[in-house]
Amino acid sequence: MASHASANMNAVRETMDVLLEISRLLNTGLDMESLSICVRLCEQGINPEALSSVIKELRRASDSLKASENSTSQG
Amino acid sequence: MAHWSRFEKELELETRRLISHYTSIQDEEDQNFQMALKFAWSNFKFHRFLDANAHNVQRSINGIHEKLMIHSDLSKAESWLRLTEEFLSSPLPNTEGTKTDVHYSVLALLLHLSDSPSNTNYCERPRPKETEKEDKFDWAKYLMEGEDIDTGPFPDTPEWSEDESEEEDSQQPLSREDSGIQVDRTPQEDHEQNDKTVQVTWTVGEPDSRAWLEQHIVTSYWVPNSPRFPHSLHLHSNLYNVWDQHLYNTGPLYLPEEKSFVTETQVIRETLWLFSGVKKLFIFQHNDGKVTVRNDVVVTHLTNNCLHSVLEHIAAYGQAVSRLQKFIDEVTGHSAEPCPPGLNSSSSSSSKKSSDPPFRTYQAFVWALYKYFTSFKEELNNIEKDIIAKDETVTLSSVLERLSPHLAQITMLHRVFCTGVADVPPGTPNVLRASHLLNTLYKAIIEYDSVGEASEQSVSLSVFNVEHKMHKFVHLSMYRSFFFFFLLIKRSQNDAVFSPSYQVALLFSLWVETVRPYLEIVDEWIVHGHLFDPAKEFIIQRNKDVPVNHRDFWYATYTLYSVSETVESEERLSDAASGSSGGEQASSSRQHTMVSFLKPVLKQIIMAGKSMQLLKNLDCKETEQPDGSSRDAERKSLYTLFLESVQTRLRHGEDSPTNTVTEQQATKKSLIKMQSIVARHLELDDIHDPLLAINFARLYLEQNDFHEKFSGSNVILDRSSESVTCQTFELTLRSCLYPHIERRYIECCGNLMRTLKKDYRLLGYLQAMRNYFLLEAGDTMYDFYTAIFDKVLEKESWQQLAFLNVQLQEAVGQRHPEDSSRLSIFLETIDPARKKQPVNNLDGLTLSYKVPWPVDIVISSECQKIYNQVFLLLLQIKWAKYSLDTLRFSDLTVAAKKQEGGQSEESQAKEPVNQQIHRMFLLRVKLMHFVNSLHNYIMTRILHSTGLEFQHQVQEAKDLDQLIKIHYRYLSTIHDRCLLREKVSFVKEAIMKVLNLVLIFSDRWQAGFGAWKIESIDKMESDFKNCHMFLVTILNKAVCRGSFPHLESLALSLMAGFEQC
Repeated sequence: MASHASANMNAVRETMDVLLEISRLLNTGLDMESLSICVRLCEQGINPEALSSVIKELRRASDSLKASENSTSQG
Repeated sequence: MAHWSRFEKELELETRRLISHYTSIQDEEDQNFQMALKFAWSNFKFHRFLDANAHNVQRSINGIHEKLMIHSDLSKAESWLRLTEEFLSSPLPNTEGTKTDVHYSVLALLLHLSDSPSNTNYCERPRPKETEKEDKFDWAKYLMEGEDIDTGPFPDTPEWSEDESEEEDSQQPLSREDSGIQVDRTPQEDHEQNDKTVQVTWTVGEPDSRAWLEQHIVTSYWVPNSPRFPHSLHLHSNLYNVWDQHLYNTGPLYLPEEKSFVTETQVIRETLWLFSGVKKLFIFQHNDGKVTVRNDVVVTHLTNNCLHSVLEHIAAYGQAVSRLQKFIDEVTGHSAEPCPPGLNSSSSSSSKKSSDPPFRTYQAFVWALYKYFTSFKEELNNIEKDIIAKDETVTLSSVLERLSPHLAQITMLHRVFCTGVADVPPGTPNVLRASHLLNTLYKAIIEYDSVGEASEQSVSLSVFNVEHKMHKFVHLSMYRSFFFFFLLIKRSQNDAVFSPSYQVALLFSLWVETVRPYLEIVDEWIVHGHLFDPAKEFIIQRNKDVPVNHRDFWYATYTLYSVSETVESEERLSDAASGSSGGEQASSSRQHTMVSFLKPVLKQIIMAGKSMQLLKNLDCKETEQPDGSSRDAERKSLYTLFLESVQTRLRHGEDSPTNTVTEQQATKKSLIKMQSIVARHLELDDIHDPLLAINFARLYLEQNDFHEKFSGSNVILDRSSESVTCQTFELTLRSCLYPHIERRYIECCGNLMRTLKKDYRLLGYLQAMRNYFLLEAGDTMYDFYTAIFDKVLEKESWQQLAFLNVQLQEAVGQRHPEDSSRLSIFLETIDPARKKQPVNNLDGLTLSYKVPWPVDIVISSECQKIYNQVFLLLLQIKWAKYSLDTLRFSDLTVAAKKQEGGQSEESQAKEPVNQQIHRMFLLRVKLMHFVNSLHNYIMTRILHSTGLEFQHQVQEAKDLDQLIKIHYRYLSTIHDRCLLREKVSFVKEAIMKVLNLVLIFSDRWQAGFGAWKIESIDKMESDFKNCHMFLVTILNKAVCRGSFPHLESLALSLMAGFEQC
């Protein structure tokens, strides 16, 4: 059982590697961690389109937040 | 939120992770975090998006693949397809099965997040997944290229682990051939190589380094079973596969072979390398100087046959290049490839060459070739740079197009080389090789020139035809723009280097270079009188065994090698006996003998050279000698003069008034002709526009002018020689080379003639010859010969050398003391059978005059022989005359009176004595008349007048050869006119008979009346009458025929004597 689990783990790791490649190819900007989060969310039935819009929004917000922080720290 | 299920809790957890990951806010109580969480939740729960659809996702995947293909991102497209496929068939952490909705939704997520995948520089980023798939790839072979790794410090060079670098060190340094490619390995070596590669297995851990290597190192296509490079799957780039498949499908027996795939760039590079003389190539293989194309090389976008036919073409050129290259290496003495001594013929020949004096004609030819190849390689380099720059597409056909003028030139060079150098059988003397090479070049220039003109005509004609066909469809309004279009085409045609005149130009420059040693030899010879030709390549060779101050110098010193092209046999024409005229005749009889370009001036060269050498060896007392050396430094060599004249001719050829006039006339004529043609063409289409017709006509003419003007303005010879064309080539030689030689010839020979006449008293010696041999110094010689005749009269022996010489010295020493030491007389022993007649008594008497060098070149011993013959004849006549003149009437009358007393009865029976004496008197007068006529004729009519002519000609003689010829002609003339020729020997015999008669007669007279019978008078009378009559008849006939005008006086005077008796 343990061996099966480990084999499964390896298979999943490979899958994740492939997925990371695809995401790189597509220039999604996801790293391994965010990718695994996304996969899990998708597995839990989150609509991919919704998830993508959330991610985009989060990126934008975080960028603007950082930008404002930078500007305040400078000011 | 107690009602939340575990599922929802997990979801919440993941969402928080996501937010914290993206916002990097760790504090979950943060306001921002809460806002983000709310936002995320609201989006997750209350969205209006459709669920992920497998079909849609699949469509998107295919769409992206196609897009990548269109963008020619072959590798990307391939990996995209493969990766998605792999993903869909792999398990997910918490989901059972493959290709589930979850898979698709994950892909859909990525697709939504994707940011213009085709636009990114993804291809430059590492792709560990793909390289992992290619893990079996043989890195060692990649690294055979070697240099990138050796040079090391590239900024983006991946870092190697310790083990790996050790492995790298353990690998043998691989020798890098010129091309960087190794193909010339034996299978054995190949095997070793494979072993090595097996040992050195690279496990490059870091993905970046692999990618770096892949992008920076050429695929080792030259290794068997090398990996296929990735290429587009587009139909265009897979023609080979498609065709192969087709063959496979249609032909049941078709057996697909193992092929090595290369890219077109690789083919181009190998082509360039081949042209630049690299021997070890993959696609092209050298086999004993032959270049063949590998059969198993294919590119993906062409069929095998197509590629092969193109490559075969290239290989032919490559072979020509390598042959020429080899020749260059051979002559320059270093083989491109160092080979063990004794194995290679070229190495042995080069070692042999080092001992031989350099063969300068070949060297010059090679130098010219080398210069050409330098420019050719420059072009090759430019192309290679273009390939490296990647600014424009470089295809094989474009490269060939670009090189086509060069290739045409190389073909031509190779042809010239083959006929001029390679076809010459080994062991041929250098002189043959050199002249053959020069002849070949010369002929090639003329040939290409005429061909060039013809082809140019045909080009313009064909253009005209095309234009004609086209303009049927072109409306008049378009016609004018069409006209300008053609103007452009014409211009571009002009600019194309392909024009045959460029080949002529190249040939001309080759010829000019190659001819340099010859001209330098000629220059050295005719300026310094020294034929410096260590390699024996000049058509004229100095015979070493004849010293300059030898009598035979002028004839035997030089050998003219005449090469007959038809039989390829060598003929030595020693220009003996008749001077250089012998060589001249020989050359005119064979059209292709010797170096054609020198033929018109060969005589002058020989003359000038010989004269110069002679002049140098005479201790010239001329004042210009001392500063000769200083002048020599400033003096331009013949070759320089030639080049300068060629340049000025090319630059100002159009400026000369006669040229422009004729050119303008020609232009006008052809303009009118063209105009009529064009007008006819236009009328065919109902277009009557004379202006247009004129413009068209002008266009064609302009093309020719344009070229000439363009090239004429250039100063550099190689460029300006482009305008050298057929008619002008020989004219160029005539106006640029020959005048210099001619001038030098006149100068040299003039100098020689002056020196000979002034310092060596040539004229004095000629006069002396006439003085003594032709008895012009009458008083002197009279003293000499009368002494002999007196001895004969007194019946004493005169045939003693001492006596003769003393007489001669006494006679000469009185009046010409300077000649007394030179003159001597000999007696040749003559067989007694010939001495029957008294007149032949004098035979064997030979006068000899020691002519000092160098005048003995003119007055040779052969000449003296002729002089002697005339001298003998003159002596005989003089003797007869003398013996008649010295007879005294008293001798006869006194004797008669004595006899009258004693034998009166006897004599009364016959004739009275007085009557007999009278007959004797009469006969004597007749004989005197005859002898005097003859004497007169020969001394005045012949010798004197011919001598005057001769003196006149000698004054005008330009060179020594001419002088010798004049002298010979003079001698043969007097020989002829003195009737000494074999042909008229019967006349001479008759004369001799008379002279003999005279001698007998005078002998009898001396003996006194009664010492001989009266019948003998009858006999003498009748003999004389017969001879006289015979001579008169013969001479009259000759005079009537008019063939011997000089005989007229003799005939007349003899006839007068005859009629009287």
